[in-house]
Amino acid sequence: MLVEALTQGKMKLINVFGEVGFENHSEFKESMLRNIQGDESIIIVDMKNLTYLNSMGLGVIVKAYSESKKQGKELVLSSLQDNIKKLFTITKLGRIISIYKSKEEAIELLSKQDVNI
Amino acid sequence: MNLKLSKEEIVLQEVIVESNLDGFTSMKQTSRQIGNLIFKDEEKFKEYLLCIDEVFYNCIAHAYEGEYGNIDIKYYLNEEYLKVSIKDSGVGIPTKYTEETPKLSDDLLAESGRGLFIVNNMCDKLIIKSNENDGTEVIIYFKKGW
Repeated sequence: MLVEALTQGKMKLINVFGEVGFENHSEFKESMLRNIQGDESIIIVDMKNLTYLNSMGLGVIVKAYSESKKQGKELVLSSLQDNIKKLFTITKLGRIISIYKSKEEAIELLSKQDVNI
Repeated sequence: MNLKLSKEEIVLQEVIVESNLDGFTSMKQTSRQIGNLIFKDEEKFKEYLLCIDEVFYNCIAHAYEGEYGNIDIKYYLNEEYLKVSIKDSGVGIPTKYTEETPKLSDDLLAESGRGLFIVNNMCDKLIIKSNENDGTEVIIYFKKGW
């Protein structure tokens, strides 16, 4: 598992690679919570290269979403693989956390929401 | 491994591991080997691994109350299903899990508590048995032919 972040104006793009499971969910949590800090008002977590996520990893996404919200930020997801999209559907989290087809779509649509970006 | 099927159920493999990271790694390796033989569909294969992962983690987190103990995993094959039994000898599981279908928490943004609900939605059949003072056995069924 690898987490990379880059800032673009008021957006932060977090790319997650590999698998998140029992063996590395603590590391994933630490990395996500560190990366949502900062001045960016929109956080896009791109999961194009995330191939496996269990309920603990899902819990980390929920925690990062809730923490972002407390800080007045919007955290969204993009490019979910089918197995991971299914997790968000059955746990109903997809009704709460916005999911975009791709990071490009997320950037385009969210940029329109905030003219200051 | 001989996968020739009889009408009877056969035990493909049994592994007994400790409820820790080494045990988890060993269990996952065996699960991958068996899943590779059974599932052609990549998504179904991932769902099978996820279900076992979730149940095994429950054993680590809850069965032995912070101590280590053994977890016995058996992989069975019959005409219809690949069946995986995951059994610990810990404290047992609350009856709400053995008497009711696992449910989502009312708080959709709870950080934890989704594991068995996910398993129940991804496998074809789930049985949870709690034996007083003799731990918990979770049996997960996956239809063959995927």
